[in-house]
Amino acid sequence: MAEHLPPGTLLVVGALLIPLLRGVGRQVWLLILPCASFVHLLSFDHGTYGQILLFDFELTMARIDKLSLVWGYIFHIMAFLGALYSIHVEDSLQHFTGFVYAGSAIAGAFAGDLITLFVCWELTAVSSVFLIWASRTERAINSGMRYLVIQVGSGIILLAGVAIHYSDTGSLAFDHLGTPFAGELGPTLIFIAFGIKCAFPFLHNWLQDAYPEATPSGTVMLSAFTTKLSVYALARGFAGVDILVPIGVAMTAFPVFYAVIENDLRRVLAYSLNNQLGFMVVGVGVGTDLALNGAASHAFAHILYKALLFMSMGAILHRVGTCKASELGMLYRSMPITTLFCIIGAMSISAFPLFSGFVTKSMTLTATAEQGWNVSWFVLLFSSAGVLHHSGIKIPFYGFFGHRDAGLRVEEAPWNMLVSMGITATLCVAIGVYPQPLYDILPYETDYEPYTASHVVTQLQLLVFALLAFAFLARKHLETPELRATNVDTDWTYRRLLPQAASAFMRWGQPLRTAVFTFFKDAIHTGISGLRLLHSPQGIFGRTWHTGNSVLICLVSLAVYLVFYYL
Amino acid sequence: MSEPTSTNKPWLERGSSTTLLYRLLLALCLLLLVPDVLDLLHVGYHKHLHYSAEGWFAFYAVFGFIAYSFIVGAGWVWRRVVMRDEDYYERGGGDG
Repeated sequence: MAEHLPPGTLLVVGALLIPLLRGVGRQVWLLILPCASFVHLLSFDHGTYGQILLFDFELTMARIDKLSLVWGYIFHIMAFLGALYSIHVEDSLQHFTGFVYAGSAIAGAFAGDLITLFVCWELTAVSSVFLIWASRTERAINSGMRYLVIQVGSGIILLAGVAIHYSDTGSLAFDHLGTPFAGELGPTLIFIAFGIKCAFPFLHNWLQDAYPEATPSGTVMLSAFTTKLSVYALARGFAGVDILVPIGVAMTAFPVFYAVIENDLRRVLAYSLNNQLGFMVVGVGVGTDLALNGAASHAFAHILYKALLFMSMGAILHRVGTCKASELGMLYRSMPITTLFCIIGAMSISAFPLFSGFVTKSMTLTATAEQGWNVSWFVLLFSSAGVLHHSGIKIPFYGFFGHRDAGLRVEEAPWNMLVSMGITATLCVAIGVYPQPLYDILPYETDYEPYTASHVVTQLQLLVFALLAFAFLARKHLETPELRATNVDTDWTYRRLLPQAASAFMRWGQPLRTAVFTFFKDAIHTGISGLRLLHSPQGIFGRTWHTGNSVLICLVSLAVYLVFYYL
Repeated sequence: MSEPTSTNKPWLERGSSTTLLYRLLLALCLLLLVPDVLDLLHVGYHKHLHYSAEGWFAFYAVFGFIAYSFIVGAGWVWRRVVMRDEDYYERGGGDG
């Protein structure tokens, strides 16, 4: 039976038991389920599974190959770490939707056809919104609603693209889908749908809007699956598409300028997530074996260190009740272990030697330079310094140190959070120190060697001198201060501009509205009067006619018909 | 509660400690420039280059310092453009 289930479905089916369980039983189940699903995944050989016919469409529920397995492995690891991190939470809704979300993302990564992908795509959207709503605040409810509209909208665009693509090619296979914006509407719509979920520039702001409103454990889960599923989808469907390079480069650069001024540290990480996705999108766009390996390995490492950073901020939120830099200071005294884990996450994302970012992100940069994307390479280098700023320094510094003692004396994070962070931090260091096991599971053969003297020295020069700039500016009090504020982004268009435009129309468009309503009212009134004229008891059709008159009308009609017939 | 004096503050929060850390960082920066000197002299270390600019003395060091400073400076400007009150979306027709 189990071998017919596609990977990930065990998590979805097993999640149905969660609301029925309580206490230790539920905790054990939460930890066993991802492990069982992982063992289930390992039971598959490379190949396609679960071919079914649905309305004459041949679906392939699972396609196991090296590309999909990278995502399958890391998604399972994160499902386990996320469950462990949240095991103290009593809210069954979060656990249930969290596993449905993880399971559908895993199933999506193994989808062999576009219909299966669409189903998983929408299931991730519908299940993940509950992790935002689980905060049960008005802001979270509103933010979740916006998130749901955008995510489901992405699915609808995907479905439209799939229908047109099928109509044009007769194929539902989820392989390379062609070139978007090259005259074919199907691939273009599918590309836009992937782009929404991948937070392309101008389509990105759902991420920074929604993720910081989720529960502490919800944000950890959210950071891992949705956007990385879309990176996988791009790698599968649009590898080597040139337009992805400038898109990815823009993604790496613009969030840096928002992250530097953002006060909510989880929102800083959301911008940072956008920036990191940019590196992966560039890798997919460059499209060589090395670049695609770079995108895949970066996705793997990124899921871990980004989750670790979100976990440490979640621990602060859990203990202090806020994640705003302006409210924090010297928390390292109360939460030293969490501080250590946060610093490990920060060093990993900054790509210090011996940490995971160093052995993964550099593949993409090398491939970009080798393929002659010169300007892009320099922007990526600039963005690397930006990563150090917002995630390498700002997160640990303002989260746990800061410029003043905020007087917060709290307990260290709960044991399960610490264990989860500890495992994640260990993986970040292990990948950095010994990357070969990660390289072995990458989609293409690689002889990439990250630890050359030149790479280590130049990377250290870049990072340590950027660190010097931070120290210098901090001593001169030139750092941007942490202020309680809202920074408007593209969400301003649908949160402020459109509501105000509608409101203005209601206010200032009164004469026009009155004229429109009066026109239609008069038209309806005239229509009713006309009907009454014809069909009322005195109307031409309503009144009783003499038989002689009726015969006369018939005769005249027949005579006219006869004349026309002979003509 | 009285403000802790500089002697009973944790080591990391003392002014002397941050000065010491700053000097150590400066020393580390100088140390990291040594390979570039060796590269100039063609002694024992050779930079792997994709672009000729990478071969300039202390290219990555200068790039890192300037890029970081530019980001912070741009932050001051960008904040003037996009910063609003914290409850901006909650009032005046926003949706929260």
